[in-house]
Amino acid sequence: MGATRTPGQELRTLALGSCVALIMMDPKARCIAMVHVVLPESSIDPARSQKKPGHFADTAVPALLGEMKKLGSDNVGKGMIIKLVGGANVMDPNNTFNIGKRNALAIKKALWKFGMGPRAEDIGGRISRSVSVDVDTGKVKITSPGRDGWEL
Amino acid sequence: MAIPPDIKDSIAKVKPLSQSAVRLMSIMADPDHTVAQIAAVVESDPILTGNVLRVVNSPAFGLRAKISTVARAVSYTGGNMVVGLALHLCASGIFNNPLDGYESQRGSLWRHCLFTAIASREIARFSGGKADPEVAYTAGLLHDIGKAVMSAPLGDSARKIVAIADKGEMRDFVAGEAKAVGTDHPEVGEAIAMHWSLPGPLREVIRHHHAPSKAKEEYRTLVYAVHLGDFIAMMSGTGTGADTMLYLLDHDYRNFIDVSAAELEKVILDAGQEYQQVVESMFGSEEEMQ
Ligand SMILES: [Fe+2]
Ligand SMILES: [Fe+2]
Repeated sequence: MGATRTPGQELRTLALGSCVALIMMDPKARCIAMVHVVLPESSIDPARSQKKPGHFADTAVPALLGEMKKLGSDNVGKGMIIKLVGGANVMDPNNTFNIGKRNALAIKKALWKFGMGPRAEDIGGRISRSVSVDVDTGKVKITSPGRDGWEL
Repeated sequence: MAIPPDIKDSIAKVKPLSQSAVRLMSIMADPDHTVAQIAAVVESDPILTGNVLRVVNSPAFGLRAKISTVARAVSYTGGNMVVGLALHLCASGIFNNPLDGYESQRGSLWRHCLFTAIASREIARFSGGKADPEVAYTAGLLHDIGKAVMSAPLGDSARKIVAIADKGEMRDFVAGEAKAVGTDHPEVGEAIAMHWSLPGPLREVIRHHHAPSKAKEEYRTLVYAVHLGDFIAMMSGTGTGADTMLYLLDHDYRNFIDVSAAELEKVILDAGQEYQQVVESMFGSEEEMQ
């Protein structure tokens, strides 16, 4: 989990696989934050979610809002720009290995609780993405080995 | 398929494994092995001894007292990690070269194989005793060795394979390899396994990890365990390169491995944590994944 309002800085993730990068940007407070969500529900390991709330969709959303608040953002609601990236999916009729899909859904559910939703998303498919976000421009850059990079 | 002659030549030139690695793998394959047997192999190999002691005394291990004997060190690291260190030392040409054909950076194959090993061992615990977790670990370490030799003949084909696969017009990366090169990394891997005289179960995993239903019946559950371990590594962001995620999950896995969604999520968390610890103890601390 990271957040910044320092001009010239950028936030980046490692390769995401089925994890989802949740990105928040407040154009008014000029700050950004990003977290690398691994799993949908913190109930699977409450002790770990205390130490690493960003690991789980349901605890990641309030934790990231807290980071934004520390940087002066009180923009909970429609003013916050939210983007989702990652969540590469594995087709599994048993609903066990399709964690990418479940991660993205769980994040959206957690966002709805705060009256928020993603403005843009690049999720799913058989693609492992890495992401960087630029604090000055708000540009979200996505890379993936074997492909040319793109923006969201 | 038959392996093209120039690739056969490259396989014949692969450096043999060290005595220590070979002996450790056969010790680990025996379910009744002891720490003393592993320690004896390590003690006879000064470079491996140095590596084991360095790792066990690294900050990532978090032991307060300094460990100076091999026997104590092995009791902390466990045999799996010793096998990993021995393979990493002697097969560095396989694991550590950048694999341009996969757009894979130096060390990425090792990291992918390490994550796969840990996850395969955890998944093997859901096999009702049919796949040995320790063997699954070793098999996970070795499952993708074929990529080291396939990288050069693949050349710049990976981009084309990825583009076709992204359009949904290619079954998986293995099919792309076969089309571009005339063989694939499981087949080449099996040939390296024969060159190294690896035991049957390991060879079977290397050959069939992307098509586990084709494995010999007696090893099929083990092959399914590594098939799933491989997916867990890729899902956790630790793939090899351009091929990451471009494989198909065999839906019949549940006839061999009885793992629920909640159990799988636990495996992902635990394997991720152990992987991080092993990487830090081997290479020093790096940017922590949040
Ligand atoms: Fe593979
Ligand atoms: Fe693999």
